[in-house]
Amino acid sequence: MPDTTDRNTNRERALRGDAPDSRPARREALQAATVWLAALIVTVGLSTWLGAAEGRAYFGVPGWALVGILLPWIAFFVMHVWICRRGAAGESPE
Amino acid sequence: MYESAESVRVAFGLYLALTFVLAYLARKRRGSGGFLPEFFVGSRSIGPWVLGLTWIATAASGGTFIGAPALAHANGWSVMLWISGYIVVATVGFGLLGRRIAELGRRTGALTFPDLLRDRFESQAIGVVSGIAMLVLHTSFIVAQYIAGARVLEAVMGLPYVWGVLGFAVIVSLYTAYGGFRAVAWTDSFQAVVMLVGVLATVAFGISKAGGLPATYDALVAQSQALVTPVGPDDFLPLPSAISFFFIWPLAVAGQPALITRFLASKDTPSLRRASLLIGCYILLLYPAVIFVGILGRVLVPDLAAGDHAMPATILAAVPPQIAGMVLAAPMAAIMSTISSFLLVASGAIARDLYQRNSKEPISVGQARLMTHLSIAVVATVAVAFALRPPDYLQYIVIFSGTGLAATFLAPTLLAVYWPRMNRLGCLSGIIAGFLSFLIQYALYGTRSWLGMDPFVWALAVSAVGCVVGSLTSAKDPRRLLALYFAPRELDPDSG
Repeated sequence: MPDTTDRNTNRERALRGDAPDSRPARREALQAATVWLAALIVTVGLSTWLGAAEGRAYFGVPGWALVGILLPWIAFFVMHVWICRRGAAGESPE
Repeated sequence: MYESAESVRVAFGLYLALTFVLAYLARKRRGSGGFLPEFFVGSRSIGPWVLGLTWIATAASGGTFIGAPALAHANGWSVMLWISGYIVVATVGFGLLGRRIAELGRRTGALTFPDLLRDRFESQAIGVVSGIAMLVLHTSFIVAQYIAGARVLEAVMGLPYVWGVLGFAVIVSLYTAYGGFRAVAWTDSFQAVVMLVGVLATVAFGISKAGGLPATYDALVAQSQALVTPVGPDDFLPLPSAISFFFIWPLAVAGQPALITRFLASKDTPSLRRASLLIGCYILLLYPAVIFVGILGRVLVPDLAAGDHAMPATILAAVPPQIAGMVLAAPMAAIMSTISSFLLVASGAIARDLYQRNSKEPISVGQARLMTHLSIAVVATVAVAFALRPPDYLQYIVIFSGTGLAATFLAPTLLAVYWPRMNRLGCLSGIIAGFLSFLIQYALYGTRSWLGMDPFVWALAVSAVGCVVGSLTSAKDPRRLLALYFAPRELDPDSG
């Protein structure tokens, strides 16, 4: 272990080679933002619309919560798995 | 105090002992990359399982385990809509910044979140301002966790509130200072497992005790029809608030410096991706279940001594006493894992961002260690002082500090890592505009600002505008600096 700490970390390493292209990460960020917007519209929209009507419960869960939140939760989880697997395809450990 | 048994104390003791054993083992396994890289980012060697579990254990705080069930107890099913932004927390939390931050961390050697911003713009002022903002907001988050922990001990063991706060402060500070990031990550992983098992067990026993979900629904309707509507009693969640919380949960998590630090500690990008998958699965199981606990509590224990007792009171009412102690460790785990992570980040703000990076001479390892440990002690002591006068509902402090952090840092961070035109003035403008507009809205309007939205939504927009205006009205950063962060073809798009 060195007996002093490096104030500026090991930034000089950054001078070696080109910086990584930010565009793949930016594409992932845009994809995440799109999923967020879709989930907002589906979840808040459906819950508010169904909740305004006379409530019915299914298996003890209010209909608006089942259709507007719990089922979309599962659907967006499946989408999350798909996004992760697609991103991992062709990627090797650094 | 609610009825509890000796087994609860024994289980608590076992849980704490296991936590310390893990911290000890983690310290034994420390890497050889120097004291500060090991202490703050575990020598960047954290694999997917530990990374995923420490990320979620940090994100799921006393607010999740104590505050959210308390709100569900008071407002019924509407809290499921209130928390529904968690549907995309894994996708957004990792997708927006994870890959890019991890890449830049490995490339530039950044150890803390302000390190990243300071080096990107070569600005001491940005390092100091972001260090101070993080210190203030993280300390208030730690206050909330002390309150939550003391509430659990008060409800379960009858331990006086003051002793509960002190107990949490001492225990968590000790193992955080002893083992640093690796100990925090390992204990977080254990605590994340305890949290999930505890909540799922409570839901299973609670549903059985209440006579099934349909019976629970009928009992809620008998108390008040408003408990099964999306708006809830007393206009708890009008449409603008529901939309605001869909902004708050995913974006506040994405902009949370303590979670961004986890990306800096990751071994590689595939580890990040696998951790993200794990978190998506974990959230799907945990968060609806946490709200179920509050809803079941409304039926099983309608009268509470304090709103924040909903979770422990429901556990004691629903779970057989022989295993209640193990289940009660779940909220303890959530609280301790968040305190330790936030202590580490807040102490990093003092030791690394305000002291070491501003010192004229290199400091020795011994000085760095002493400074880090002292910082932990100072932050813990200040948080204890504030926690001794708690508000009635913990969740409001959690939301204030969590959203304050994201309103201050999310837009500057996103633009700093993705937009080459962003410069020092833009970053500072974004941080200051976000922080001040957030505080001013809270002071003037409370939690419902313009159009009924939460102050976070507008503060985020103001911060983004501050970044763009500040950058476009001042000179570009030198190419020498940009070349450290962006590939040549991004800086010269015409070169192909």
